[in-house]
Amino acid sequence: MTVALAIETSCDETAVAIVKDRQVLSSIVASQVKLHEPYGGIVPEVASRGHVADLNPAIARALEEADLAGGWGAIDAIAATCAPGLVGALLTGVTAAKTLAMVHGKPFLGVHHLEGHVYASYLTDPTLEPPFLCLLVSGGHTSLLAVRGCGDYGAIGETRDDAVGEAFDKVARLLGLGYPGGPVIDRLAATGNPAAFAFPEGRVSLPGGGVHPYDTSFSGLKTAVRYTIERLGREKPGEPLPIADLAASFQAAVVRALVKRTIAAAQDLGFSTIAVGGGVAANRGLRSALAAAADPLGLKVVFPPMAYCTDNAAMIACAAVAHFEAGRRSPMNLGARSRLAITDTLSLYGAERSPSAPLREDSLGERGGPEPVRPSGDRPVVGAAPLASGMVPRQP
Amino acid sequence: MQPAPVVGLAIHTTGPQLGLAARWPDGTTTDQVWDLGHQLSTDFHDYLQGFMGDRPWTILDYLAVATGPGGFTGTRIGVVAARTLAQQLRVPLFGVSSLAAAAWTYRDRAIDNGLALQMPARRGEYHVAFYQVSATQTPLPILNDCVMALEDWKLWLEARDRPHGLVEVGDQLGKDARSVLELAEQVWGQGDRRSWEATLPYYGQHPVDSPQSRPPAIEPP
Repeated sequence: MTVALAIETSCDETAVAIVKDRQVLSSIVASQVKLHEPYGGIVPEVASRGHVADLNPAIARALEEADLAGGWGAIDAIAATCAPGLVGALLTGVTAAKTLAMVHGKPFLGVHHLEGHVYASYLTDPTLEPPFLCLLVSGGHTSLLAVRGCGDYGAIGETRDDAVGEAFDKVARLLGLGYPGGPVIDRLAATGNPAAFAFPEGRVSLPGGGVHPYDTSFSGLKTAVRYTIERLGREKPGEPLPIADLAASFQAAVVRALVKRTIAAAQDLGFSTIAVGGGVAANRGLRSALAAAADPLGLKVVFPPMAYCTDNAAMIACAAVAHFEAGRRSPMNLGARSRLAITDTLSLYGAERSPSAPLREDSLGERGGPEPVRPSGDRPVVGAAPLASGMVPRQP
Repeated sequence: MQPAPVVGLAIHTTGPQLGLAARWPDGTTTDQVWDLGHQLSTDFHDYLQGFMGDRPWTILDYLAVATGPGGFTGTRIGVVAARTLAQQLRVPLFGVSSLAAAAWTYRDRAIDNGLALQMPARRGEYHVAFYQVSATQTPLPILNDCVMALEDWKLWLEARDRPHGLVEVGDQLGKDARSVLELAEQVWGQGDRRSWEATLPYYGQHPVDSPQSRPPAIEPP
């Protein structure tokens, strides 16, 4: 039994969770939606500032709600999302996690954000085991992955431009629906006519002819919605836009594109289980259409509960538990990266401190070296002693 | 019998340098500075752990951290680490302005106890502050840290119409870690035991608001 505390700050949610194997002991999420609403999207620097303010209270709440009998002594590892995401935002969580690991003498593990979304499915169905197909759909990512084991992934398909959640946000902005776009479009789509407008499903042509069976493109779909809005404005000036019909038709095109490619991949590659992760997994249209398409083919579909669809730290802790049990640890000089393919997840572990360690995107300067610029006083000895397990620190 | 020295650790990361300073249980003070640049984001904990040596974290009576102004990312790294350490160790955390720390470092440059400090900010503006300083007392802000156009700052100083020293604060701030420690020690000595929750970075500027959309930071005296 492994207990991990994890921090997730890759975008606009400040999250801390404690997970025991695949059981969530506590999961705190402080959303920044209100903070970014005035800007119509996420401002990276604003996100980083929000994380600094929200993170430590979230750590305290996660510990309080988990109510671990042994306190810190019951926690085996500290983890943080370290890639991909907004680098400034990631660094906040990584810095706090390393500090916790250092002061309590625990191993530190960096976790790939998308792998976290894969692991959200394990929180839903603790009996789930690889291999399975994973459809990851969020504001920053749209991918079809072959899940073969912990840290062992194969890229099957992806978006060539906008992530699906990004397309929802952009179309919501075109329709004047505010931010974030996914929930409001999903709600309106339920009342509109999905056949009112014929929007393209975003085929990706191959150089030698034909179309890619699993890749998709959403920027053309977004442009088609914009042209339709402009045409309606010209043809029927002064009339209100049929917002619900536009939302329903747009969502139908998105869902059609995702379901078609997911089912094709499962059948072509012999997967019997499909797990769906990411914020767009909360979309009711996608849930019902994928389940309806999979059921007659005998394919099992696993959707995480809504709380684990959007960014959260429970999924990161769950992934950290698996890597910890596989004997993996991250070096304390692991950096944060805006991009990292999920197929490179294992590069986060095992490397001892080395100037050529792969995760150094945010380390553009020369290494300063171990010697101080202006030493004075006694010379430090490497290895501060952590708080002993169960030790109660002094009160001020 | 002498009372046991108060043990504190100060962290300064608002510039490309990492500065650490500590007062140890034997009463000695150590400070060290490293030119880490962008390596700060990856190597901070290695250097901090090395600085502490084999001493247990529980020896610390308090933490202190420079809260800015300065580089946004570097400031956050120091503040997040200090907040987390103070939270876990349940000791007070003192946030100290980078400009106040510089005022303490350069207190001998004050004229008639007046010291003006200016540091380049983004968009052609300046972080500025004016402190009343002496050799023995904590700098007293006459003008709190704020952001101004250089012309406005010059006007403010002219309107004050009294002699003062002026310090151009660059980005080599690691050496001010000792000042952060000493100022925190003074606050501790006054009986202040503030919680980590009160300490957040001071940025001075917003990533979206433009100077034109903001009212003037301060009226000249």
